[in-house]
Formats: sequence, structure tokens, C-alpha cells
Amino acid sequence: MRNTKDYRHGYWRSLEHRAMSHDEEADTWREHPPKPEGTDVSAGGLSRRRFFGVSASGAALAGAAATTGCIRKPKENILPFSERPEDMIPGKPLYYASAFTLGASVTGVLVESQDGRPTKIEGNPKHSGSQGATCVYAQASILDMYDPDRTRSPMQGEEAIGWDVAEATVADLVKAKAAAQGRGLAVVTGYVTSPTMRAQLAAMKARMPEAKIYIDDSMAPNNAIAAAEAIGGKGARVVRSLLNAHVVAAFDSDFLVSETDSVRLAREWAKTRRVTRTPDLTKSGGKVGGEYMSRLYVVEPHLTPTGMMADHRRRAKGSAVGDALLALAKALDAAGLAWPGETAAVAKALPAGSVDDTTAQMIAALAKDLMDPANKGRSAIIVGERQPAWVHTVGLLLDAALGNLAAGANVTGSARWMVDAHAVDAEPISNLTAADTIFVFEANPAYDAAKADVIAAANTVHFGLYRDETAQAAKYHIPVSHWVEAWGDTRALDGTIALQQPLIAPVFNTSSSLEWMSVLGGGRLVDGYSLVKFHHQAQEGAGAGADKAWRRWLHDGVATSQPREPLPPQLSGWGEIPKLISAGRQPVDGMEVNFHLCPKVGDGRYANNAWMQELPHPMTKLTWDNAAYVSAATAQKLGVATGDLINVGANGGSMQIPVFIAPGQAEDTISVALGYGRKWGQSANEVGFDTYAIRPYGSWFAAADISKAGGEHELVSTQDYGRMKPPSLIFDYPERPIVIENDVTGWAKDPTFVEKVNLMTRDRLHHLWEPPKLAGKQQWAMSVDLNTCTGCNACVVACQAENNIPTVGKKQVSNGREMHWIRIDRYFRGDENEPTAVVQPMMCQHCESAPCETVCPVAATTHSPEGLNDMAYNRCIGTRYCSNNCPYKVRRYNFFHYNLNLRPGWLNDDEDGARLAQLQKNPDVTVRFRGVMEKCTYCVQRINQAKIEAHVAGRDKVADGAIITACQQVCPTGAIVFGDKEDPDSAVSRAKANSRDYQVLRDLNNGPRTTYLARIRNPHPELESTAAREDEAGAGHGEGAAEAGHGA
Amino acid sequence: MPQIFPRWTNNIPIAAGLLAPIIGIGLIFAVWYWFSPKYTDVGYRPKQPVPYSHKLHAGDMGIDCRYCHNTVEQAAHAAIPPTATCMNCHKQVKTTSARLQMVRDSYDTGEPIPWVRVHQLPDYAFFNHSAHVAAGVGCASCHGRVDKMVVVEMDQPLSMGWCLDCHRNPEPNLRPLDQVTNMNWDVTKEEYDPKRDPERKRQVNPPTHCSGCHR
Amino acid sequence: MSHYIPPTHEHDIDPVDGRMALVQGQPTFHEITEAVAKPIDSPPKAWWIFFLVSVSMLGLFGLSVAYLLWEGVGIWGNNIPVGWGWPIVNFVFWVGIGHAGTLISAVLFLFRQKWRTSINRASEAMTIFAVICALMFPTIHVGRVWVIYWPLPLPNQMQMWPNFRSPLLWDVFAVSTYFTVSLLFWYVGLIPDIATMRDRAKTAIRRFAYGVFALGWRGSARHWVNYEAAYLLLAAMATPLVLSVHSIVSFDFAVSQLPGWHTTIFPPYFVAGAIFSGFGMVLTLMIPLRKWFHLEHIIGIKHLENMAKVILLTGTLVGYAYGMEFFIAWYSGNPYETFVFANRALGDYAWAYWIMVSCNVITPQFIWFKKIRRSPAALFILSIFVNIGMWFERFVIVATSLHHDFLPSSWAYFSPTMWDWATMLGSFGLFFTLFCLFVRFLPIIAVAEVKAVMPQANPHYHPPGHEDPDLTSSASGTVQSRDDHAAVKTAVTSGEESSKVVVSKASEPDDEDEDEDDEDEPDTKDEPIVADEPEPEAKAAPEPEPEAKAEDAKQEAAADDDDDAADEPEDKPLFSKDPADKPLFSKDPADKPLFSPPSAKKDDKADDGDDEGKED
Repeated sequence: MRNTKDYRHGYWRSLEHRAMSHDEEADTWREHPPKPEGTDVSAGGLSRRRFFGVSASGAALAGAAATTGCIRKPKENILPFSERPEDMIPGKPLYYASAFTLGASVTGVLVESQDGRPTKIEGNPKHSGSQGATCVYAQASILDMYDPDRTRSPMQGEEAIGWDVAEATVADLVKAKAAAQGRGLAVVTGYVTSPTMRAQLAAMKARMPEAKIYIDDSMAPNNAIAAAEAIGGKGARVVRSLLNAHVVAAFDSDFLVSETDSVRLAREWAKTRRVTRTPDLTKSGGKVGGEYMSRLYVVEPHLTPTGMMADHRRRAKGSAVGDALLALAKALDAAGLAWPGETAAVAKALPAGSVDDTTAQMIAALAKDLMDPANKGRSAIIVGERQPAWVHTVGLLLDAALGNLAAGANVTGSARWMVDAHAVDAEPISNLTAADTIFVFEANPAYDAAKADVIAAANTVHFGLYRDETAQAAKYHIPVSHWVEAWGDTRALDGTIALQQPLIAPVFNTSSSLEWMSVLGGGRLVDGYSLVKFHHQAQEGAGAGADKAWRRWLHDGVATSQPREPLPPQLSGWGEIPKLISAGRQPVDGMEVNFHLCPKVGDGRYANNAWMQELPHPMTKLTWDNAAYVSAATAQKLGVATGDLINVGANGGSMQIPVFIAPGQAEDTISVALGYGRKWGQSANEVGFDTYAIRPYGSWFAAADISKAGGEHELVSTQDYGRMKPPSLIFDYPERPIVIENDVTGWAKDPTFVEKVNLMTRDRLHHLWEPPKLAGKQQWAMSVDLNTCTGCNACVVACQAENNIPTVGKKQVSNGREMHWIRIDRYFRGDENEPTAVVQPMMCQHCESAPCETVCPVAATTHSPEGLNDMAYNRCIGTRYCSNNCPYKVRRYNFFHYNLNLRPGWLNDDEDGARLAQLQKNPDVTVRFRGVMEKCTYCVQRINQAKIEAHVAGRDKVADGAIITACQQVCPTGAIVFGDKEDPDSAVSRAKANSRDYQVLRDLNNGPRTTYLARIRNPHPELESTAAREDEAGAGHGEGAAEAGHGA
Repeated sequence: MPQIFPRWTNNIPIAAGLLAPIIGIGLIFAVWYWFSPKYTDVGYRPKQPVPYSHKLHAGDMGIDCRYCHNTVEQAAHAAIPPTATCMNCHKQVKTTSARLQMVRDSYDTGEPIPWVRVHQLPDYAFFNHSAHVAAGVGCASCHGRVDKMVVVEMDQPLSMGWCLDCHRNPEPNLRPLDQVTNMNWDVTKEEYDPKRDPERKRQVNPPTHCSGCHR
Repeated sequence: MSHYIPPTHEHDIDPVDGRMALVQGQPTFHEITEAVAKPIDSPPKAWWIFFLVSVSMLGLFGLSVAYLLWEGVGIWGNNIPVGWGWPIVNFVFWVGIGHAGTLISAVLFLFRQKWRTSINRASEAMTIFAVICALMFPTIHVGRVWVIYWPLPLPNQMQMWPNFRSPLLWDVFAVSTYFTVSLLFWYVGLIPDIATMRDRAKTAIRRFAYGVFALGWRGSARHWVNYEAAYLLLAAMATPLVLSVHSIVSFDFAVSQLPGWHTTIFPPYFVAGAIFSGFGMVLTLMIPLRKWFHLEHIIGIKHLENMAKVILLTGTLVGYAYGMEFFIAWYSGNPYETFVFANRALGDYAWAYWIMVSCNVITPQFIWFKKIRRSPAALFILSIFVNIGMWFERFVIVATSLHHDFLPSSWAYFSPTMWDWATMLGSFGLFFTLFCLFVRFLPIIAVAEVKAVMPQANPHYHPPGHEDPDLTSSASGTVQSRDDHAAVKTAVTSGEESSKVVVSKASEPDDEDEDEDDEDEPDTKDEPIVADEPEPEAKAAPEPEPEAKAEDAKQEAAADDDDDAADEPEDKPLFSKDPADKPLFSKDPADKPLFSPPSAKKDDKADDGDDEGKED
């Protein structure tokens, strides 16, 4: 261990900072982001956007010169319906229940429709996979619907063809194949959750028994399914629930953010971490365990949000994670774990896993926790989807032995077996070698499975939103409907059935994939409504109440009457485990490259989604790129620094990719994200590096040859600039009270620890100006629980969708001009190789005596009587003084007219596309123009809506919970709470009453309305505790605070 | 050498010094008045595609405002009625009138009638009809005596200052909640104290801060 | 007409007060007028070159502003967190430059620093132009320049008033007030000289243009009285502005809560820095100008030396402020503050910080050496460094404080774009273009004021010759007068002047005031000054005009033509009597006393005629 004293000064944001506390050579810490010479928006010549810029500036002159006639706004027409649809009130949004699928995950959603335009996706509280929240992908998928890159008509090669031609072509192909029993027909699809679609595929199989179905879906839990099926037989699945988990051990699993059912798992896990009362050591006998707050152990190759949330995290190569699990099995065995039934022999015969000392320590502690009788049946061994099937089987073995894995309806354990009876009988895409006719449904095997040759050789029809790699290789490309435009249904892993309903007629007159599948299944194109309704009514039996039930399903979004009780599988495969291990265990000795799904673009399917591209990566904060994450030590070994290109050779291919030195990365590995390096799409094109080129299909790690390539690539990370401590012999200063954390013991010993880190005591703080009078009946405030915030970014995108926040492009981001109203700050602490990390979402804090308000010369930002820091965009003249004076730097500025230009270059050639993109805008929020400042408003449009509703109903106050901000709504872990702080019973008041509640930069005496609940770690008492160090350091600061001077 | 300037020019500097502030202030006040909606917008009376007379329908025949603008109590917009609303009557009445041809066409084809917006607020100002109706602000307070307008025109400036005048002192513009659509209820003549009105469940407290109207 | 080109390196002694003469080479008043007016009639080649360069840079400014309005402020390097980049750096830089003019013209005036007269005109012009440049930047740096008038408290239909707590608003008032007063001050000071230019003008257009701005100035006693009163009042008004304007500019920073900005030392530090940079720019402008325009005798080494001394003082003050900032940062124990200053000296912008320190603190120390502060070339180079250093000071304040503030997650680096460069260089184009035009069309030396500090203007000046040099023809008069000076020099050394002071004083009460009340004030004010100070060197400003030197017949005629040609023959003798008997007021518009007794008897006759001619 390094000298911890060095790290007392705490948080660092990147290795560049970190290096600084060693006082190393000055050169290395001068990381200059690229200089913004010129701008990307200036590239396109004269465009309408530019014209607007000028006409806006000319408006004042025109006004001055004009007569009264010219001053009037231009004539505007109102076009009322000829006959207004039922339920529709112009200007009032409607919400329709639907469902979003990604891989095998299903998230029930409510889609907001504004006068017929779907604009925003919210979680459906009635759906088990959502529970009111959504993942970041679901939030962003609404933008895909309005993507101007969507193909607008069927294509044969480069030529557009008519819909009738397309339909006839598909029908003919199917007819010919039907005649041949389907011989030579291949259907490629993603993981199918839709029961109706499964029925269509089954019908196809019945018609054409020799047709083959291939699944190409990197986001589906293929290895977990393979393991479950190996043990439980066909259709066997394991469904996890963390509601009762005391101990969670994640082996290379980012179950909180990017894996299957992450929304539900994160929500359940958060319930075990949302500690509301100060721990009392006297009552618990000096020990605070998992029953108070669950404990999370993580072993993983690169730092994920789950690793960031961990109480103990160890690094391991992707290929060595299985070893850690084997070591755990041995440790448990040694501790006397009772292996049930036939598994004992298998368990005793498990090979030993080799792990390093620190990992061994953690495994030992973990084993102790797992063996604790209090935790029996209350732990979870979660193996990540990137681990091969044999690791999953070992995990299942341990879960079973620990009493976590119950069959049937037993939900006290953390997981249960069930059978997915109608699972599609399919092969992995890698088995597709030749076919004469291929139908590809919303999959991209040419890109992600290296099947471009096979695709091009056959009579291929591609169905998809975009003319992507597969569409380009295919003979025919037929655009399909976005899921918001289509009828459909979904079946979650736990058996919940949810219906998808369209909110808008297909923008490009398309049919959905399901509808096209009906050609395969039944020979003709049937509309989705009939397909879905028929399928479900057939399931239910079309009795008298069938239509009523159907309407209720549509209304609720879940078909509760569908059987959800799992069928227990026959667990006959335990004996297969040794075989699987010997076949699958492939240690990598030298350098390893491991692949992961990008938390932004997934496996590449969101690559053309500008919101996702611009989103900072949860941990590295990279935008508009992927990179090879390496540890500082490995980078030194390779002789590279951030931005340097390396050659990576693996799986017979090779590629160049820039290096990003990432804290927490395992030694001798590089971690690369999939989904980049596309050759199409206005947002996706040429962004990042295509790592599929070196990936063995279906495998997530491989031995690699890595060498420095020479040359650099500009990587834009939104937060890694500068060091927190400049080299200085003279100056020394206490830590900045920015993020506050502790461990449970430290909290129990000192319940007021959050006060100690402040530089000054409260009574020494004074105001420069008299704070505004807050006469409102309700006082809005927010609380963010850092104990459950995983930094998953869902709030960032939700805010973007709700508040019409534009994207600005890589070049603008490189100059710090990204427009996100929520910035998820991420800080590291401790050793550079094994740091602990913490995130802190930072948005407008709505200071009671706001520094921005006093400096605005035109009073464009003022305080509302209810404590909001209002921003009147149309009063703003754009001096940027408010931003300068904002200590949190949460104000964002429209340096250009970004909103006329969602993606740089759009308007130049694509007027329709621009108009299409505008349809996503929320009409309740002003679309900002160039030259004005903007920031988080606490979703004031929602506050006002709720207030008006209350006032119309004759109430003065809004009920607690009636206002849900966009970020709060979407948060999978419920970390964000909003409400009236004057009401002592409101959720936000209760949150703020927690002794963990603190204000960021309290010494400035701004009185922020957004406060945070300090991060509490729950380390195993026997393991070295990083939080304890913090506590020690924090106490030291407390003394220093009394000496501190003015707080500015 | 001759004089360059005639003698009277001696007065120019003095005159300029005295007049410049007057002209400057005059200019400011001129812009204030003549460039404000009070001058530019009041009286705006665009020609509508269908010669619909509010005077006839709302005035002479006494149809309640909410018969057509039926969303006014629930939504931000007091929506322009769909053609179907017109046809409720005009299926029976004036079925052959040439002036109603466009209405009938719209009803038959589903094509909307392109009414011209009279009361235009900027996009960054968010006005909510339901809140105002619930507060007991009469239609006539903002829209004027629509029942006397053959062609609807803007009666009030709808400028920010005009809004604020009422938001700061709403009581003169409040009326009993059942008189909101009554065009004949004269706020200047009727004695009404909203504070003593038992029908009111809450007293109005209109916002005067930015986010009350700007979001 | 030939004009007097003084010998260089001459160390003339003022024959009356015995100090080094402010104007070297003992020129006559006429020669002064000529020396100043000559470049206006025929500018040197250097002017043309310089003007063309300036105008093309101004074109660059126009281009970059046009592009800015077209695209938005994103064309600059500004970002979040560095919301203010080069535009505000340039703004503060130019406001600082604009400081010296008012200091020289108002403060030095009130402190009776005679040497200011040679440089005050150009410095004031520099102030005006620098403030124009400065005002450009806050205007164009806002995001929506078409509503830039919103910070003004104008009535509007929104019923919105500006936020009077915002330092930016104070800035609007401070800088515009400063600009207005400076402009008025400059213009009032120009009136007598514009009249001279009018009278010298050879073309009708020029005569008309100068005539308009001369406001009918004829140099009558009443004119002088009103002029002096106005000048004094404006000086009194301008003096607090010297302190206020840059104090308030510093509030833009000091009233914020940003570490590195929120500093109580800022107002005095900014004022000192502004004087420092202002004098730096004056030197930068004047050293080439005096050479190209052959004004070395009027803007002498002594002037340069005095300015250098001010630079040394203020530069050292600024250096003290730098040190004090660090001390306070350390002493406060405030981690943000400490970090910001450590980061300034050692962080990403250390290069800028050390450029600033070396230019602003180290460079001025060379002024301790007499050789350097008396060498125009050395001072010129030094002044360039001062300019650079002060630009960097503003850059350091703006950029380093913003780029690393409280939360490290929002940190970023600021780098300028080509448009930042274009706008900054363009603003120099604007400044130099205006300055070139000024040099081309207006007397760059305050002729009337310079004459007043010349020995001839001293009532005790007693040219040894019998003949009035002003009555002789210009060519012979030049020679003669120089001889006279030599004689005076001997007279001064023999201590004759003291009795003359008494004479002079005694004569004044005789001058009865028969005019309006407003003339009383200068009268009473002047009297004690003259009475209290028998020492010649103390006479400085308020000395009455020594003589009526109708030095140039043509000029005289022109002046009279303007008023009333008929008076000329009668007036002339009055103004051209024996210098010892000097009339208190000169008819020559350029020859003016500073605080002149308003109701000089002898003048009254001339004035009466004038006044009758003018007023009805």
C-alpha cells in the first residue's frame, strides 16, 4: 500500500491529477485539451441557421425602422381538427403505456404524447422491469424515432423502390422458400422477447421446417442463458431479485447499469442501500452488517458504475474473473458450506482459482460474509454476462448452495429458476455460414458478427431503421417502424407481459418487423394490431371480457392476467460443470483485450443517437469516442499516454485505437467498448474505433498483441482537466468539501461528520447581499442520495429529452460547451490503481442567495418566492457573468444556435430531417436561442403544471409527490427526491433530515436547495477501509476549519 | 476674411445643449409608447377564412364561450373548436349558405380550417387559460367584449407589463366564478369582494416572478 | 513657411523660475504654434504608412465583428467555465489605457504639474479612443447584442428594470460617465486650439469644420474666463472619476465570489495598474510621435522622464499588489484562494503569470537608472513591455481564476481562436486609426497650455531686447527673440524678478471687474494664489498671460476677421505693448493664461468691442 498520507488530500479526477501529488515532473500534468481553433458549425457555408443568426440580430433594427405593421409578429394560423379525437385536449400531453426492449431486458414505459407527437419516455410504475424508472437507452430511444438518418423508402441496392415492389419481393422470396420447405432460408434477428413474434417464428418453422433462425444480439445475456440451459435444460432461466440481499458479489457484472434487467436490479439493490437512520453501534453490538445496509463486492477488469458503487472492489483480467469465483468456491468449501445433493461432488472437484493476495483477502472476507447465518439465502453471486458460461454455472452452483437460488415462487432468495417455454429455437449468428435467402430483422451481423460476405452473397432482405452496414451489404433494405410507431408485445425474463402500442402513425409509412415477420409466418403482411391482439386473445381465450381485458392491458401497459408464475426446470445439469470448465476455461497469460458494451451506444445500436454519443461515459467521461482503457502501470509499460494510438492484434485481426489511462483498470488488460467506428450516419460516422474487428464472436476477452503505434487521437473527456493540487512547496491547504463520504462505522461514531469537512462554522458565514424573501407557500428542494446514485446517466438523457437540450458535437464538447443541465461529477480517491470512486450529480443548486442572481445586469435570473432560481431566457442578454459567478458551474451557454442544429451539419442539406428533429421538442419548455444562458430549472414546467392543477382544483398547495422532475422520474435507484421542504412530512424533508445531508460548498453560504446525502461505504470490518481514511482526514479538516479564513 | 457663420449660429450650441436631452427623453418615451403592444397590437383584426361573427353567436344568440372553446377550463389553451362543433348546428341551420362552404368542406374532407391567430403570445411566454378561469378572471377582461365583435380583434395589449398590472393587483379583475363567461358582467360597476366569496376555495395569489410565465 | 526645428539635447533653463525649461530651444509662441500645426498641414510620410496599417487592422475588426454577429460568441475561445475570455481582457486592458489621459489632464492639472501641458492633449485623445475600444468589447461580447440596451434603465412595456446590484451595471454607468466627462474635458481643452486651426485654415471646408467646433472662439476675456471656469470644473469632476472608473471595473471581479477575483485589494490595485498601463501607452505613442512630428523640444526628455517615474511608482505598486495577493491567499487559509494563486504561479497559465510579472514588476525597475529613463529609445521599448504586461495581467485575472475554480469537475482550459486574435488586433486598428485621424486633424499638443508654461508667459519674464519680438517679422523675430531669452536668462540669475512680482501683483487689483458675476469666481480664486506665492517657480498655473503677442499677423487677422474686423487696428497696439507692461489677455486664441484674472483692464477695451460685435 502506498503511503496513505499522500492521499489525504483526497479526491482526484484523473490520473493526471493523481500523479501530481507525487510531485513528479511538471510536464506530465499539463494536459491541454485541444484548442478550439475555429468551430465546427462554421464549416457548412451559408445555411438557414446562419441566416437566422443574422436575421435575429437584424430584428432590433427592423423593429426600429418599421412602422407598427411590421412590428407585429408574422401571421400565424390555427388549424383545429375537423373532428377532435376522443380524450385529446390540445396542449395537454397524454401518456400511453408501452414497453421498451433491449436484449432480454424489458422496461415498461409510459410515452408522453404532445398533440400527437411522442416526446418523452417515462417508466411505468406498474411494470416489474421498470417500477417507474428506465435505463438510459430507453430515454434516448425516442430520439431515434426522429432520426433524419432513418431510411425513408425501401431500397434495392442504392436505388429506392416502391412499397408495393418491396412487399411483392418479400412475398415472392417467402413463397419460393415455402415451396422448398425453407431450405436455404436464414432468419437473423435480435433476442426475441415478443410472444407474438415468437409465435410468428414458430409458425414459420412449422411452414418451413428447414429454415433456420439465428440470434445476433450482443446485448442479450447469451452466456447466462447458455449456463442456465446447461443446468436446467431448454428454456431454463434464472431471474434475480436483490430486494432481500445482504451481500452481493458481482463477478465482472455491471448489473447496476448496463446488464439485463439493470433497472429492476438497481432499484432493488438501492432499497438495501438507502440508509435513513444513523447507525447505532450500541444497539448492534459494535457491528453494522448487511442487514443494515447491503455490502457489495466486485471483481472486474475495468471500472464500471457497479465497481464504483462497490464496498470492495478488486481488479482482475476478464479471463481471470472465473478464477476469483473458483477461489471463492474453495474458500466456502473450506468454511464448511453444505453443498446440496448432487452438487457436492461437483463442488469438491472444482479446480482452484489463482488470485493475487489482495483479491484473496477480499475473497476470504466475502466467504465469511456469505457463511454468516444471518445472510443465509440473502446473498447474491452475480456473474456478468461477459463471462463465459462455465463461470455462470459456478456462480449458480454457489447461489444454490448458499440458499439464494430457489425454484418456483420462493422469492426470499435472491434468484429463482424459471422456464421460458416459448423461447425461440435459434442458433447463434456465428453458425451462419451460407444461405441463399437471408432475412435480417433489426440486427446488424455484417457489423457485429463479421457476416458481411455471407449477407452479400445471399438474397438478403434487411429490415431496420437505418441503412447500416448490413443494409448496405444486403440486396434489399426495407425500413421498419420504430417501436413507438408500432404494435408489439414483450415478455420480460420474469414472465411479465407488456404491450407496445403506437403513439403515432409511422413517420415514413413503414411497417414493423413484427408485421414483416407475419409474411414469414403466414405468407402475407398483416397489421400489427391484429397480430398482437389476436395472439393474446387466443392465449386468454376470446371470451366476453376479452376486449375489456385488452383495453385494460393497453391502459396499464402490463397484461397481468398472463401467467407469470414460473415453471421450475429440471436441474439435471450440475454434472456438466466440470466439462464446461475444462472446455471454456482459457486463461490469458500476456496482454488481454476485453470487450464491453458501451454504456452509451450499447453494442452500436445507439451509435447514431446524438444524445448517446454526447453523453459522457459514466466513469471515464469520454464523449464522442471509445478508447482502450489501460492502467497507469500498463501504460507506462507500453510507453503510452492518454490519446496515443496503439496497435491491438487479436483474433487474427488488428486495429489501432487510442489509449485512455483509466484508474481502476486491471493490469495487462485493455478494455474496449463495442459499437463505434461506423461508416454511416450523421452522428455515428467516423466516431470512435470499430473493435468488432478484433473480437472473436461471442467472446468478451482474448489474448492480444499490443504495441505503441505512434500518432495520436483527440479524446474528449468532459472532466479530466487540470490537477486538484498544483505542485507547491509553500502552499498546503485543506481538502475541498465537495463530496463527502464515510463508512458506516465512521458515521456511527460521528453522526455529524458531514459538518466537520466544512471550512467554517455556520455562525461565521455572512451574506454579501440580503437574501431574497421567500414568501411562497411551498419551498421546492431536492435531495440526491450519493449512496445509491450509480452515475448511470439516465437522468442526464431524461433531462435532455424533457428540457429540449441540444447536442453540440465533439468539437464544442472539447471546448467545454456541452449543454447538459446535469453533470455527473466523478472523483477518485486513494491509490491510482485501486482507487475508490464516487459520483455526484451536479445541476443547478437553486441557491437561496444565489451568486448568479446578483451579478446579472438585466435581472434575467432572479429568485422565485418558492425558492427557485428562475431563468428568463428572453431577458438574458448573454453576458455569462452568472456562469462566472456560479461556484458549481452548472450554467450552460448557447455559444451558437445549437437548437437549430441538433447535430452539426443537419440543416445544410436536410430540411426535412431538421423539421423531423424538431418534433421531439417539449412544447412546455422554451427552445433556447443563441446567446442565452440556461440551466436546470427543477423542471419548472412540471411544477407549474402541478400548481395550476392544484389551483384549478381549489387547493393552495401541491401534494407531495405530485411533482416529479424528469431526473427523479427516471432514476433507477430513486436517488433523487424532490418536493416541498417546508412540509415536514414530504419525502424531501425526510431525506434532508438524514444526518448524511450536506450542502456542497457550504462555506460560500449560498444556501443551495439541492443537498446531498453523503456516500456511506459498508466495508467488511476485516478489510482495509478506504472510508476510514476519509474519516480520519475529515476529522483533521474539522480542526483546520476553525482556523480558516473567509469563505469568499 | 469674411465671417464663416452668421450671427444666429451662436445660438446653436445653447439650443443643442437644451434640446438634446429633451429630444432624447422624448425619443425614449416615444419608443416606449409607440413600439409597445398597446399601440402595435391592440385592434389587430385579421380577416378570417370563414366570416364567423362572435357578435351573432355569442352576443345575439348568447351561446356560452365554453360551448366552442370547451377546453378552457381544463387546459392551457382555449382551443379553437373543431369543425365538428360548428356542424353540430350547421347541419340543421344555414345548410346551404355559401359562406359556410369552407366549414362544410372541412367537415367532409377532414382538412382543418386555417383560422388566423388573433391573440399571439411569444413562444417563451406560457399562459394558462384554466388557471385564469379558475381564478375568476372574466373572458372579457383580456378579450374585451367579444360578444360585440363581428370580427374578433385584440382588445388588450397582452404585453408583459399589462399582465403584471393585473398579477400585482388582481382583485379589480376578479368576478364570481359563475360569471367568468358573462360578457355583461361589468367589473367596474359590480360590487364584488373575492375575499368574501364563499364559492372560492382559495384566494388567488398570482405569480409575479419569472417562472410564473417563462419556463 | 519654415518652422523652427530645435536642436536636440539642449538643456534650456527657464529664465524666470530657473528650472529646466519645459519647452526646449527657447522657441517663440509662434514657433510653437507652427511646430504643432505643421503636421496637420502636411503630415509626414510615417503618418501615411501608419494610417494605412491602422485602417487595415480596423477592417479586420469590422470583419471579425461582422462574423461574430453572424455566428455568435462561440467563434471565440470562451467556454464554460471561462465565460469571459479575451473580450473582457481587452475591455479591461483598454479601460486601463484610458486611464492616463484623465489623470494627466485632470489630476496633474489640479496639482499644478506644468509638464502635463505637453502631453495632456494626446493623452486625453488616447483616453477617448481607448475608452471607445473598451466600450466595444462589453457590447460585442454579450450573446445577444441586439438587446444590448437592456441594461439601461429605460421604461419599457415589460416593466423590467435593470438589476442595480450587478457590478456590470455599475460598469455601464461608470465607463459611460467617464467617457462623457473625458470627451467633454478633451473638447473644452481643444476649443482655443481649434480656433487657432480655424484661423490658420487654408481651405473653406477646413475653416468651416474647425469653425463649427471652435464654437465662435475669439479669445476674448469673457471667453477665457468661461473657458477657465469650465475647464476647472471639468477637472474637478474628472478627478474622482480617475479613481472611480477603474475601481468599478475592478468590482466586476471583486464583487463576485470567485477565488482570485473576490479580493479587496482590487480597486486600488486596478487604479494603479491602469495608471501604469495608461502611462505606458502614452509613452508608446508619444516617443515616435515627437520624433516624426519634430516635437522633441515640446515633449522633452523631462516629460518622458516624469512619465517614466510615474510608471516606476505605479509599477511598483502593482508589484506590491501581486505580492500582497499571495500573502493574503496564504494568510487566509482559504483553500480555494490559496489554490488559485498557487495555480497562477505554477499551474497551466504560469507562462502568462510570469510574463505579467516580468513585464510589470521587473521591467519598470530599470527606470531607477537615469540613463534609461532619459533615453527615448529605452523608454519606448520599456513601454511596450508595460503594455504587454498589463494585457497579460488582465488575462491572468480573467482566465486563471475562471479556469480552475471551486469544483474540479468543471475545470477546463481556455485557448483563444483566430477570431479572438482578429478582434484584439482589430481593436488596436480601431484605436490607432482614431489616433491617426486625431494626429492628422487636431493639434496634438495643447498649444495654448504649452505657451502658458513657457517663460514668456511668466509675468516676470523680461526679455532684454527693447523691441517687441512679436511685432517683428517672423524670420527676424525668431532670431531676436532668442537673443532676448538669453538676456532674460542672465536677468533671472541675477535675481531681478522678485520686485517684478510685486509689480505684477499690484497691478491686478487695479483691474476692475465690471462684467458679469460669473467672472468673479476666477478672479477671487486667482488672487490669493498670486499673492501667496512670490516665488517664481510656484507660479505654475495661475500666471496671467504675459503679453499680447500678435505673433503672427495673419493669424491675428484671421482671428479678428472672425469677430469683427473693424476692431483690429485699434486692438493691435494694445496687445503689442512693452512686454513688461503686459496685457493680461492675449488676443491670440492659442495664447492663454491658465488662471487668468478675468477682468483685465486693458483687455476690456478689446473685449467690449468684441462683445458688442457678438452680442446684441
